[in-house]
Amino acid sequence: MYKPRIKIELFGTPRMVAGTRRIEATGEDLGTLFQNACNKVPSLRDHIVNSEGTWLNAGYTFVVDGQFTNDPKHYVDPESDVLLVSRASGG
Amino acid sequence: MHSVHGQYLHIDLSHGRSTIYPIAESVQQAFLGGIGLGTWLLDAWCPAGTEPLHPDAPLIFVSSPFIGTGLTTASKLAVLARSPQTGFIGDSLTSSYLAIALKRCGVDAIVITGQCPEWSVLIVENQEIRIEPAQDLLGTSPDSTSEHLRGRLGKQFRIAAIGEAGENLVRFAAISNDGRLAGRTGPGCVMGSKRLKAMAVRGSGRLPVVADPEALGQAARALSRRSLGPETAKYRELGTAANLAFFNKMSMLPSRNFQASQLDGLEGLHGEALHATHRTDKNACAACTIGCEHHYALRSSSGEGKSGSTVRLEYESLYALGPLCGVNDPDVVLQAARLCDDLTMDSITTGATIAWAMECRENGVDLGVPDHEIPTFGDGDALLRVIGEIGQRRGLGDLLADGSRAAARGVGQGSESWTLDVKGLELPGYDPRKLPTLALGLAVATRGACHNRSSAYEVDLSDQLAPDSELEARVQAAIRAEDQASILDSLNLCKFLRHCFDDLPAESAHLLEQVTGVPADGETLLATGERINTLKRLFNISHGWTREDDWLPSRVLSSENGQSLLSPDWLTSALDIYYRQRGCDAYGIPTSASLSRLQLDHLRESASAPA
Ligand code: SF4
Repeated sequence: MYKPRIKIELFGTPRMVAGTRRIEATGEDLGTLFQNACNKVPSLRDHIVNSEGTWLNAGYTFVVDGQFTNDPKHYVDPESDVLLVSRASGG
Repeated sequence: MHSVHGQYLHIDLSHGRSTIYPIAESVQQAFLGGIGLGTWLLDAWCPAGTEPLHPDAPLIFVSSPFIGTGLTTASKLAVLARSPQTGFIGDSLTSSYLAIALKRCGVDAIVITGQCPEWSVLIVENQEIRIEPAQDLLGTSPDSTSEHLRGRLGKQFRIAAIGEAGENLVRFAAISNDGRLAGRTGPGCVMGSKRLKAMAVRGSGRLPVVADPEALGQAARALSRRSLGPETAKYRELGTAANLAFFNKMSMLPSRNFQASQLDGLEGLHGEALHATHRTDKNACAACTIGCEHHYALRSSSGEGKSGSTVRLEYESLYALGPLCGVNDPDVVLQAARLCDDLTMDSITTGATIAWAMECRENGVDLGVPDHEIPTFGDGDALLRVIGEIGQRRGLGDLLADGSRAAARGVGQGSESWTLDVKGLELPGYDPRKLPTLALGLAVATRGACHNRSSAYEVDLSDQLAPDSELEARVQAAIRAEDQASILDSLNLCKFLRHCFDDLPAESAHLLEQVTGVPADGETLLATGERINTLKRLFNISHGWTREDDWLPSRVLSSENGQSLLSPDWLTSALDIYYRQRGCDAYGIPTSASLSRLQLDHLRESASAPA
């Protein structure tokens, strides 16, 4: 079955660890998209995954179409603008 | 109350005298330390009518109960004065070993008034003072001053110093210690007005004991461990420069004097890129386990001829000296940041005032100098030249050295409509047009447009509130963010530690109890934050504040380019709700019921005695 690919734009540590600005992966919600992205770039797991290996650790968040979300069930499709960024926004 | 001395040192520079004053325990419990206790002292020593640069105006350095306890990031010093830039409260925090030296002197604060007859160094050794000439130090950077004085007096001395900007009374001059700046609102200008090039402090006393050393030791170790976790990874790994690429993507990066919120061609300034191309090493403030201070190599503008020296760079300097001025050359921005540090002036106001002048040039405004001396957007060489002129008050720099609001008032010609400030303090690098909770925080912030005193951007840059939340809820979130910021600023903990707490007020109250022995919980600590914010408001009211001062620049309230979530009506409604929730009347004045609830009626009275 055809699975559309979704682009995740990386910022900060995820970008440095992955060595790329964007990853493409499949998934119909953030949870599966995240797992597939980590399978594709395993080095991400060492930095941004929680101790259970299931989801982001406390340092990171997704932004989908301009909205911050930490909900693995958040729906995404190929039109979604998906960003992965640090939760800490201080400057 | 443990971990405090219950007294402060007043130094009169005009007469070379010092006096110890007691601080009642009720005051220390009510205001903690740092910015809180400093606000109480400022309110006492700077009554209505005291001009910021008059010899009678105080310059205040304050420690906190947490300093020297082993709690990570707690070695911060609060510096307060009536701001020569805004005319309202000027309060800054800076991390350094000076904070520990001051506490070892056996006092919780130093209040300096008067004026030296000639340029001098103030030497504080425990509670003894002496004043020595400093003519030979004029024109030197704080780093050189510090090196010289520590060579002469001994390495145990810790130094706070001003650079040329402070000597020349640049209104946004900072004070530097251990390379960190008490940067905003112009404390370095106040120090310069007292002809004080530097203060050298050596404390050899024991630090006061904490109430429960064992429990505190465990808590401090746990907090240090957590400070090395994912919550602070951004600061440790990339530093705050990491904000730039993301903010640009989100169209919340103020550019070209807020004419845009996004700029092309900034890839070289991305924190990720700077890390790869320029980063050399990193450092941490005194007693900090996080270490967010990243250093970058300084090179010539052509990118060649590495000079071997480095500069620390924070996001705010990167924003103000880069995109805000339309500059995208990393070598220029790094040199500009270094110049600001050496001259010792606030890089946000420096960049924002130059960006204002750049827009003046675009609009043909006469600034009293030939056109070619006014910088244009994107001209890095001109940026560097004008920074030097500001620090030395030469040419165009003399006009800009008073900040953008004063400069615009001086030249008129419509240029007031493109100053981007609140109360005379220029906006930080978070575009409020996309961040409504922060927008309110900036409007009401007592020291002017400051992201640190409110931290409400945390609400906008998270999933805490839905974008279409009721205004009541947004205002409530802004108030909570302000009160939490006051707690951190008065315990002298770093804001970058805040994600290491699950419940910041409750957990810091627990630490406070272990340190001081005074029972505390989250609610009482939040009330303390509210009390401190209300006292800051009262101080401003004594110095002429009115509701009109809690207002945002017209450019961020206009729907120009369809960018802004804000409007004048929105801000009016938000302020009405804010004042009501804060216990103020419709003019923003705290009601007598609020003052009595916060015990500010009698706490304020008790402050007036020494002055
Ligand atoms: S996190 Fe950064 S600013 Fe905060 S205390 Fe540590 S080094 Fe200083």
